[in-house]
Amino acid sequence: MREDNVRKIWSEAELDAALADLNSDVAEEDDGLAFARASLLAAAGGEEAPPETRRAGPWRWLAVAAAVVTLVGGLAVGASVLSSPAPEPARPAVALPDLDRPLAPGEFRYAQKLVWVAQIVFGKPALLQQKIELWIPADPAGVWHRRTMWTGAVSGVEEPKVQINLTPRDEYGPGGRFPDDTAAGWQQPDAAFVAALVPDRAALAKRLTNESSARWKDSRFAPTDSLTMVRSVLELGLAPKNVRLALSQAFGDVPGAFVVPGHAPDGRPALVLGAKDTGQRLYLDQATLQLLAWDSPVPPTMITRSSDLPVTSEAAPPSYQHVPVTTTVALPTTTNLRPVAPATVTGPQAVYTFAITRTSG
Amino acid sequence: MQVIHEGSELGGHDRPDLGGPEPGPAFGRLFDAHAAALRRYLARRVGAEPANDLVAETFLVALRRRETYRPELGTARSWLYGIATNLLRHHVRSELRGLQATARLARTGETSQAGHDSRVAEQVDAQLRTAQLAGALAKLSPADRDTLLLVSWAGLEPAEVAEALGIPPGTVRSRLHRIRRWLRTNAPAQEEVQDLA
Repeated sequence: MREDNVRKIWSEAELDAALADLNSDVAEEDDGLAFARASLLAAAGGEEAPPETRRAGPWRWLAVAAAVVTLVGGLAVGASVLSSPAPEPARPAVALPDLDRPLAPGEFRYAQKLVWVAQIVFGKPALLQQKIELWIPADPAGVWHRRTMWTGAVSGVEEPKVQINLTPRDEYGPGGRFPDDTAAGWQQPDAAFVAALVPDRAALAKRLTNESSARWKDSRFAPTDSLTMVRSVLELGLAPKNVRLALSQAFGDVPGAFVVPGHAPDGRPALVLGAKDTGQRLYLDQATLQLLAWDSPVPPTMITRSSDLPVTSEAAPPSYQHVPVTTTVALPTTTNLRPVAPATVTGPQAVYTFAITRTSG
Repeated sequence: MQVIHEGSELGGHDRPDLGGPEPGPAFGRLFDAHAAALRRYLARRVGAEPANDLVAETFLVALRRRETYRPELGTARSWLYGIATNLLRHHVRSELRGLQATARLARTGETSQAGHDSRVAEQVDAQLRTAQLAGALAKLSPADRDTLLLVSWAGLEPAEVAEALGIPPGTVRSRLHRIRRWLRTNAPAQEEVQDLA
């Protein structure tokens, strides 16, 4: 045993010293701020945030992104949304089967999310379609299987030599806890979290408000966080119908939220859950209360830079190397590069499919 | 109730009016005043490149929501750090991975240099302490980590942290006391770095 293991408590000074040491190795590189400043000033002098009622699909922010890239890179980048169809189709408009029946051993609850992810690919604004599939065994405490992959559908990239890595990433998580997950909660609900949700509107409304991760001092910004909490649970397709009902009703009790009958983007009658602060909306099937779609008037995924860009090109990228990209899937070690499939994005941010299967992918 | 700090006044440089019809100049000044420090804080939390993007996103969100900034409720700095803290929620995993990596690297340094001389021994002690702290920070809840690091790394006063997080100042102080006591007790016991992210 080392000597320093004998003493088990640090002094305040030792804690402060450790905090200072841990904070001392940050590179003083502020050059990356030029892009941020340019983005800010371009936005400040350009478009205003769209009104809450304006809903035209996730491609609408591309023009703003293009303006920013043009300002920084000096390139005439247009918000070209290509016309060739290619994305995986959204679910057909048919009645949902009864997915709330008890599962037989060997059956799985299947959830699929097709989502457009905002990226800037080699300096050009683009949307890449991602598919996230989830298989939950009959006993939710068993091992869940999650498969994440890009579909190859890209909107906004005309570069013919661009290729996208389509290799799926498979993850397995006992009880819904995957290797990269942090503590279970509203952001990352697992089997135990969902099982603990009670079909009590008042109790859930209190939780949606009190356990929101919203950090805004003005409560008007909380509804989107509450909407995200609801979405995270409903995306799993695991919560029983009475919980889905109570959860949707409870969301309507959150200040700044609304729940109204309406129609999903594909025209089906739907219960619309909306957040007044950002205009984000969830669409639930009116009969089953299963999640149909999620839409947002502004890109809910942040523009970030990363070396994990799933897109490659034979051509050298522009001179400004720090092109922002949003990445939720890292390049796997084995690659499966395919040319991008130009696509038109006219639907919502994400659409959902639920089923019962006999295989786990 | 929020209290306007001494030396701070409505419309002053720390509580600017951001709601004008032409926000460009005001936000340019706001960026110049706070972006570099915010980036350093965020870079320590999640790495340099994500930090640049988080800074950009923070100011874009601030611009989009400028009408809701109320100078009487807090400084622009605390408002910005509140926005950034919320955006950090999307990077919890990478932050935890970074803390783990720091813990492992520091421990590697310990084993390769130990025993050379007293100066090296001091460095080893510091490395070990850093490793232990990194491991302990990874075990804090995101809310606790935000509270602690907004004070220790971002340099915010507890009252500003309260403004940033939208919680009472007394809660911040009691939370800080609890976190620091926990770290003092538990960080030295961080013998094994576990995969938490």
